[in-house]
Amino acid sequence: MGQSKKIDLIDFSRNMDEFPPGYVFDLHKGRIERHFPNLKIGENSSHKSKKGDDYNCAAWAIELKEGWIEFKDEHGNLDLRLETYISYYENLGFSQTDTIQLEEGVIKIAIYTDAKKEFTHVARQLSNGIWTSKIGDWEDIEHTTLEAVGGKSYGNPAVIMRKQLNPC
Amino acid sequence: MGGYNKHTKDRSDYEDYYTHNDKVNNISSHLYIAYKEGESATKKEELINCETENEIETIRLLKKWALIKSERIADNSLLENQFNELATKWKDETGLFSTTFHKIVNDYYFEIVAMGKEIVPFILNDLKNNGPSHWHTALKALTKENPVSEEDMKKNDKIRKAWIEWGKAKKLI
Repeated sequence: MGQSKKIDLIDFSRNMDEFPPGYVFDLHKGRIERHFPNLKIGENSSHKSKKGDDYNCAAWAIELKEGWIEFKDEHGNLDLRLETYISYYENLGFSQTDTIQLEEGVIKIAIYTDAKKEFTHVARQLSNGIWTSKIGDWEDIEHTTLEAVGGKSYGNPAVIMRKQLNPC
Repeated sequence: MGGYNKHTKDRSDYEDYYTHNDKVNNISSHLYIAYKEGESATKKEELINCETENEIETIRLLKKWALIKSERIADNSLLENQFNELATKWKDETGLFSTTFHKIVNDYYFEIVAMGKEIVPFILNDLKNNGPSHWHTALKALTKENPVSEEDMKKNDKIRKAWIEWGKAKKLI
């Protein structure tokens, strides 16, 4: 992936026509990187959307841009069990796999858990092999490796799942 | 003039009364403007002091009222600043999370809720300015109300709208 051009703050002396449609300005330089030491915006990752909490990573994993997907257990408490998320994606046609290797016509997701083995995040592989993640209330980003968003905040990928896409 | 004579209703006393009332009204309007513009307590004190040569009881009461009002404004500003500071830290620390659990089980969030229901208008304003909808839990705890229907709970824009409408109905925003 080529290194993307980055501007830290909007320079009002510049003509806005210089920037391509959909250009995302890095107004919060360092905010995402601070939580993800392995992530370098513009090197192994890039911003792809404006921030917002209309959808979360669990929704973005199945390409939804609306809805905050999370679960409650039988007592009404928030359910962060890995099995719950696996079961949710299995019901949508995903199955567990051992490899992150890019496969044609297959969509893959990686579910992250923390030290307590509780769900923290899910990333989706794009058709070019790069991964996409919705970072909570913030932007969705693309990152070249799963480790890029791993670490103290999201923990590590615990399960990889795959789903065969229907040929158009 | 003695205390008794002060209350004698001759023409001059009525004139004094109206003059006094004009002054009160004048000061009141200055105070109101100052209040609306969020002027400092010191500024309000100056507005009052310029009229204190007339030592009528109402002026004294008005001054007292103004100082109380100023202190309340100062307290409110302090509370708002404290809220803004904690809210910024909370958003910065938990904005990356995609689960309500990780957002609300946070020391800053707890501190905000512990500030009490006086901060509800600040939270509602934050929601109005597109703040995160995860204020829902705090608002529910502080107000003991829940204007969000079960079916809207997974749609954050609807959670936000429901609370803003609730706040408007309660005249809190």
